[in-house]
Amino acid sequence: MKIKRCAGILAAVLCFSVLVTACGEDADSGALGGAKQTGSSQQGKFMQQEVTPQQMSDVVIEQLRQLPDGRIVALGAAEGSAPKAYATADGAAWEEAFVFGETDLFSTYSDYRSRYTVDNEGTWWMVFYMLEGGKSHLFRIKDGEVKEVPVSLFQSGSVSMVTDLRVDSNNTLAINCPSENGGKTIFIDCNSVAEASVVNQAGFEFSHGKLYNYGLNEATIITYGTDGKQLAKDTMPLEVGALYASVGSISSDGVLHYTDGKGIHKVALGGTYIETIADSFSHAYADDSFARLQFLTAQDGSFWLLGRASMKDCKIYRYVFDPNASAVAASTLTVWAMDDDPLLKLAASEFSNANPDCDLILEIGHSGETSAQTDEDIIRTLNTRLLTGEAPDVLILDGLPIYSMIKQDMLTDLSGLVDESQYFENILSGYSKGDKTYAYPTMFWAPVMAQKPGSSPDISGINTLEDLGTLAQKDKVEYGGYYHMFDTLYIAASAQIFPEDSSVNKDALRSFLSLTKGIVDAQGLAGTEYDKVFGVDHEYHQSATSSTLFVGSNPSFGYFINEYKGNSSHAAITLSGYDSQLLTSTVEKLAPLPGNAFLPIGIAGVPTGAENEEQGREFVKTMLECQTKEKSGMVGFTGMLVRRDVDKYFMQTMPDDYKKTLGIDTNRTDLDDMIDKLSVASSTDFSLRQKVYTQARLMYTGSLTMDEAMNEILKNTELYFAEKK
Amino acid sequence: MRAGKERWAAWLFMLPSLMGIAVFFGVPFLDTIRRSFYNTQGTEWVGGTSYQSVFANPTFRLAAYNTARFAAVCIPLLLAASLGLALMVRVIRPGGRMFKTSFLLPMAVPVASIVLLWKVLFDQSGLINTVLLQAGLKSVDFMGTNAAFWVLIGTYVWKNSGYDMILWLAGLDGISPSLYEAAQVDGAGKWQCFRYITLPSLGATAGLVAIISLLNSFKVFREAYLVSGPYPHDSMYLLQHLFNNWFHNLDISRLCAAAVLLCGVLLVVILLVQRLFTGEED
Repeated sequence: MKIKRCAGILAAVLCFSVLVTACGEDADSGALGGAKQTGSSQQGKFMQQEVTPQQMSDVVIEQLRQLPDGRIVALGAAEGSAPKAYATADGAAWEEAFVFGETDLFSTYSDYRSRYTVDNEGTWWMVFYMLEGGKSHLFRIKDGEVKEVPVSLFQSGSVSMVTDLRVDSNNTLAINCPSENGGKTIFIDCNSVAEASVVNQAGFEFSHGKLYNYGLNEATIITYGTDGKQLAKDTMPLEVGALYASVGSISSDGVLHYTDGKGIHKVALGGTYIETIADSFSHAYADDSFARLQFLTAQDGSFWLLGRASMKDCKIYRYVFDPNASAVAASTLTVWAMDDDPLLKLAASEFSNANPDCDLILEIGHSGETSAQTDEDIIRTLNTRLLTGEAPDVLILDGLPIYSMIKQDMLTDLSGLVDESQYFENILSGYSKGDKTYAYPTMFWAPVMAQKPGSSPDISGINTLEDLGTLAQKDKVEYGGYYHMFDTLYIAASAQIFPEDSSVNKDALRSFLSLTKGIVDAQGLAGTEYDKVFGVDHEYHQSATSSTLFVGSNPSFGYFINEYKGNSSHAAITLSGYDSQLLTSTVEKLAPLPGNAFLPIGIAGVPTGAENEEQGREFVKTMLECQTKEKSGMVGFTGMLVRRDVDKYFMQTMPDDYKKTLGIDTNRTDLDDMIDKLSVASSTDFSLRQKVYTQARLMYTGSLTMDEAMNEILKNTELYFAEKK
Repeated sequence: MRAGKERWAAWLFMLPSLMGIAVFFGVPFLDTIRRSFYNTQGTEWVGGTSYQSVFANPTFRLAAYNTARFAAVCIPLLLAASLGLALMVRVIRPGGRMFKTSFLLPMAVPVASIVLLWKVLFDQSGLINTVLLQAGLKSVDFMGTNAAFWVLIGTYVWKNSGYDMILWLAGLDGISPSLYEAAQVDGAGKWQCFRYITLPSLGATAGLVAIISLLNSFKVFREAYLVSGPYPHDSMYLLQHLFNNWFHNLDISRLCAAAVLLCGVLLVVILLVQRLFTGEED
């Protein structure tokens, strides 16, 4: 009987196990919690050297090429002047080589653009071309003697644009002429100065008598000979756009080396395995603000990368393998985020530069093999790690249950990490409780009210959502879809509806539904979920008066409030960056929408028990401190930066003609004043938002009454909140 | 002496699986018990507060009630339906084998396909509602009302009846034909044979089928989750939903406390089932 009882106990334990495994499925899928980008290698490592020639500090460096004797030549020119060439063996010292000489080519072709290179004999080759119309011209310049080389396609005007000129080890010149149809490559024999052949493709690489073509949206590399014949077609496991801008080179034995934002890789032509041979965040290729222009594999095994941070700030980096360099990092820092972000990459780069002995691992939830996983799956895997002592050292908390983590003491206190006076303190303190700060939002979105000069009523009189509703329901209002209207107003109201994501405020919910329903009815939006900004409907429905309101958030918000299109005098929109909505508007005044809410973005925290807490805190600090003026112009930030003055600097450095084109006349003081008024972190729980939107949508379209929608939302959120009790 | 050797041999054969159970289930379960008395990080003793919190939580009570209700309704239904199928398959000769195979097919259908089927059938604009509307009846919100519970029951019975039928068939095959022959000689009809020979002989099988059905009843969570997400209609809200959401929110202490409680209840239920169907006592 005891055996029977034991069997019973065993069965109960098995039942429990089935239950637990059902809840925690996917334990074996994506055990790392996402794709990893690391900065380590097994033994020795590639070291980066900046080898930009000082003599070329004020010129645009156009090309790097290797001469038959192994020297590397950098070719560059100041605007409208003759190019110069400097050669080096190892990057330590550069000497001027191949003098171009005096010529009147630049005055003759002053309206043209030019491309140039030197061949193996030190002879210059230069093409002058026009983007549209006009014939291109190829010149050979040797010892000051200029000779035009006839090119049939140039003479017939069949091709115009030229992206580069390359010379290979056989002293053949390839002129790359891309076009929408694939382009053409013209080969010239430099020795006989004669046109050799034409390939009906543009190539990303020309070496050892072979031209390599790679379609931006394809996974194949096609090899052509200089006689124009196709030699091979290899399917490669490369990411789309991996070889954009010639950041790869192919050796004579058919090995492709290339670099992207993740490292330097090598793969055999036709091969299926990509080996990453360098992947440090401290290297230039990992910096998203550094445009990679050319990648070259030198005979001595080193790699050379030409790129630029700005038009006149060209840099050359050399990567040399140092077998004696310590491959074992002194420490490891793991940073986890649901999604990749330029600010994260920028911080990773800056942190790695400041901490070369630290191996930084950036884990992205939605990346590579984990991109198909749901947020739920990714969070479950992350939670497993948090509970088993394998927590990342830094968490980007966007999409994670932040308030629950704070409640469970899963985040360490970050207060005092930075001098908060340099930042919008009200944003930074979005997750502060008492004297503790559990996480820092590094960016934010702001739902705001904007007003055109000379319009009325003044937005300072709009203090409640009801006031906004009154304005929105006036006789003439702009046309938009209810999704974006909901999106903007929900950010403004969600903190009041769901305070700290832990309860529901019925009055605030009713007020929100009433407001949005009123706008939908007033604007006749029931049949339009999404904006038809560029469609006929918008043009047709635009208002005839100058006292109207546009509600919503979309990239062309500016067009709604200035007179270029439509006649809106006010707009309630979400500011999500400096480079689009805000700056393409003629705005006299800005004010937060009632509620003074903001949506935190890039919320950085350090989990309790992180193995490398100290450097984790330093990384969060770097995320805040790397928001410098110099980096303010970087495109792609997913929100407005929390550091003060960055936005002002961005405006000041914007070219005047660009401002004029965009009609910018924004009072910047107003913007800072407006941001200073933001005081409440909006709910970042997407599931709550979805519960509200699902019912609100049915209400807008008339399928539910307001009371029914209210009841459904309350019912659907009841379990959510009850679980937390 | 020989009995002792056989006993050792039996333990020896069981050792690998016992070790597996100890390592993969036993140790984690002990850790679960430990965590139920500590905070989320497992660093601070919180005593029985997690248990108090679990008992006080309305969603736990709702989920426990729904889970118990689900088991109480679906397991008897499944036992009866699968036994009926097993008897039918035995009666239908030839062709029984074909039925046996067809009833097993639902087990081979991937969860994703079942979920798709649910949506095609039970969505507000799904097949069933289309038919109802065309027949002049009102449509039914299957997933947003109490009907969701019965959809879940139906799915569970449909999916598991084939497997249970096989278990019943094995039990039926174990009954000696001579018993039926003797009963028929004594004038017993089909119902009397079933009532006095078949049913009493299937006691052990019934216990096994009931426990396996109980285990499988927890797996229906996958379909419920994929169709309705972490917060389905109240009637479909099971303990697994709650556990899953607590894990998502890192509410580990309460999750562990609730899991320990559930394990205790399951232990009692399984021992009761054993006693009920095998009739053995201490």
